[in-house]
Amino acid sequence: MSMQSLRDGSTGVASKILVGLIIIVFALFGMGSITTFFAPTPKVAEVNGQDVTQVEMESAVERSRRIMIAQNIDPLLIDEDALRENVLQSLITKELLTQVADQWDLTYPDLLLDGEIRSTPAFQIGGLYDPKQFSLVVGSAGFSPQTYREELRREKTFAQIANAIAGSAFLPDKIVARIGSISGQTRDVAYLLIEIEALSREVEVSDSELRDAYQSSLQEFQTEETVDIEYIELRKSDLFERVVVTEQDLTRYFEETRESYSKEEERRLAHIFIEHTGGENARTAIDKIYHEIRDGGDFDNLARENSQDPLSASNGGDLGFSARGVFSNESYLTFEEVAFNLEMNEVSQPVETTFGFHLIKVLAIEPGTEPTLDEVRDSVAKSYRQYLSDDMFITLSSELSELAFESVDLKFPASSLDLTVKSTGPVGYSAAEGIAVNPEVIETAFSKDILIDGNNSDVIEINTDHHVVIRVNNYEPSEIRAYEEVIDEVRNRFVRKRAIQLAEEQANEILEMLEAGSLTRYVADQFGLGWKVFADVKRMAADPAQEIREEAFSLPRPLEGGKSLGYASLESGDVAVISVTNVTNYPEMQVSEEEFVSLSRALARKQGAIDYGEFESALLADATVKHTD
Amino acid sequence: MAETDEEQIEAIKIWWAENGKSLLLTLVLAIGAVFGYRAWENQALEDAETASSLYESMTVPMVGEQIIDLSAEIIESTRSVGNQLKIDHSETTYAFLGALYMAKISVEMNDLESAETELQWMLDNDVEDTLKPIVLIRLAYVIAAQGKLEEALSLVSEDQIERNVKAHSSSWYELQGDLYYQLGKMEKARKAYQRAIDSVSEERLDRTLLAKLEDITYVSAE
Repeated sequence: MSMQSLRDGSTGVASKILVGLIIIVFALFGMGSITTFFAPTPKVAEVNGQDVTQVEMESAVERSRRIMIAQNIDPLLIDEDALRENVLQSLITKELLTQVADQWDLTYPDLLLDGEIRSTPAFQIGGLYDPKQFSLVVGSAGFSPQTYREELRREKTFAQIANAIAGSAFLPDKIVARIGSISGQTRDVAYLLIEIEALSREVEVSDSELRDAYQSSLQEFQTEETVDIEYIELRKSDLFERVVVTEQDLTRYFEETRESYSKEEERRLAHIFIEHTGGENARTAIDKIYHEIRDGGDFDNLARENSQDPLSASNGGDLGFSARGVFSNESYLTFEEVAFNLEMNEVSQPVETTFGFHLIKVLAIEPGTEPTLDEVRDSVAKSYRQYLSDDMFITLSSELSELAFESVDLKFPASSLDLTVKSTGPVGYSAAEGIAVNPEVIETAFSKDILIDGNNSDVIEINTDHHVVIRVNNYEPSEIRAYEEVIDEVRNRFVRKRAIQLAEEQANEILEMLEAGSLTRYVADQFGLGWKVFADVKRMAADPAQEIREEAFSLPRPLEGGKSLGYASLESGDVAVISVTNVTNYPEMQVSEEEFVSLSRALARKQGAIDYGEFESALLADATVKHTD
Repeated sequence: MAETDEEQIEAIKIWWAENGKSLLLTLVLAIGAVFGYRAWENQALEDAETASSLYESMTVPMVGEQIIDLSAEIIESTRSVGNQLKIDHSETTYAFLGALYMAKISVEMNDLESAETELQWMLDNDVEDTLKPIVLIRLAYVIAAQGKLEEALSLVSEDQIERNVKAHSSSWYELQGDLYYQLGKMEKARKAYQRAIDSVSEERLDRTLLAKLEDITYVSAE
């Protein structure tokens, strides 16, 4: 409906009210409510009709990447697709939880939120919450103080949901007792190990069988396609020695950066703080303390008894060392001015700030220093070289890019820039060392532009300090290795497969004999094997080996006086025939009160985690999630 | 179309004479509605904020702590906060979240009847659908622990599973198994445990669940 037709039709009272309402909505809520509606932002998914936007996605991906790098994970090893998929899943879960928190009308009061923020060490300076520090720290993570508060509030409501479900889980004593008794179960286990090594010697194999085996698994004998990559590499660390530094330059650089070598004066300050309460109470209180100090009272003691800064009071008001600038935000400006004009051990008159009154004392002064060039020559030279090589790196990289583009090979760019041409030798997608490990390098090498057209590549960033330009010298297509070349490998595989087959056949034979009632000793002798016997094996025991133990515990329980039989094919190829006798649950009576309590806690915690997992899965299963690409 | 400024002013005057009253009326209605809504919203938010603080205060001693070390005093205050949530803030979800903790405390203190009352109260007061499966399963455990096994079974019947389970039914079948085990119906217990195992992916499979089944699986007598 256009505005014109709306006006034409606006004779009825209803439509007059409608027009009026639109105007008022604008007036009260602002144009924003309409414009955001008309200009949809790009989104990556839709969860129950709510968008997960592209912007949220990118900043979340960036944040996870930064966290991974901070954990010393090589940025090259981060699988971009997997990372994005993970981040998307967690954003969807977050959106779902946000919806639950909204539906349940969960909130986290400002008062608790403030407490949380003020007590976070990262937002404090000298043990005191500092609003400037707060906005600085959250700013570096990409938040404004306000958006950080809202994000934290959201996280807190998520924690309320999780705690409500996981934290309140319990298991009744009867169930706990049964689990205790089962997990302490013991079984008497015996096994015969049929080793394939001995059996392999018995395997006979004809040439035609080997040829068949080769033919039926050709793709396993396929070689990888490879390229010989020629490259020029530019490393910042190599440039470090290449830059020329004259005494004159160094002096000038030192003058320019002098500030970073000098140290400002630092003072160890202490204060006694009385909070504003309205009226003259605070002023009276601080004056009284001030006079006590003037009359010889001990600052340290008076701080402990009177200061309302709980963090410093217990240390006699001690705030530790700080330089100018720490207290320089508006609320503290006078504080700093006074503190840095006091003499050693002098106590100030009452100083008023936005928060209240302070008496300040100087406990120690560390004067500032201004070193000469000779005193710090090494570190100045190092940082100047760093600075120059940074610069040179950028220049060389762009020159390299241009020269590589214009040249038909790498020799000219290399000689022009005094670099060398190197080669990787034949490498493929599975390369495990050198520059070919980098996925961008190997993909570029196999791209049409480089491989077919024979061009030089553009500059590829291995990392910010290491750039390369590549071209491909020689290409070897993938091929199937000839039978004669791989005959040993074919034989080995064939023999192993047959030996495992024989071992399993033998295992079945043994089981049949045992089940038919043959004596265990007799059966073992028949096959030249010996039983290994373990009494009272627990689930988590060290012996026998895990593969055998797990199978032994998954076998059905034997009847009274009987045995339970089975076999396990082991990773090594060997086969173990297993016999279980005598299964005993741990007697419930023998569990001590203490053990019982700690088992009960552990099981409740585990149950909580399961409950919460099922809760999240249910949310996801019940939601409409649309992915947009 | 009006052509000069004066004509335009004249047109606006006429329009105002015709429409002014209804516009004023609309203004009053709309502003009233907006402010009324905001006042109501503020009231609801305050209620939620108080409830949130109360809930936080009751969970603090229990998250990551060992309840057995809690003094009678703390238990008493936790219970009184939980009750306050139910009475003064029954409109908020916090009343339910608090009740979940009340049930846990009761079980820890071996007061199964109180635990049952708390969980039943949640069901009687239309607890959110997303929480209902958890409440039902916990209620069944508490009822079973009092020896009322058949009653507990009816809470986790096929019918209930179909009605309440959106994703995983593993916990439900595991509980069925536990109940049949206690009733001495081993064949049914085995079947239930097997279904519990089948309805969860391998990497999420809980070893305890597997052990419960293995514990009652015997070599068949021929």
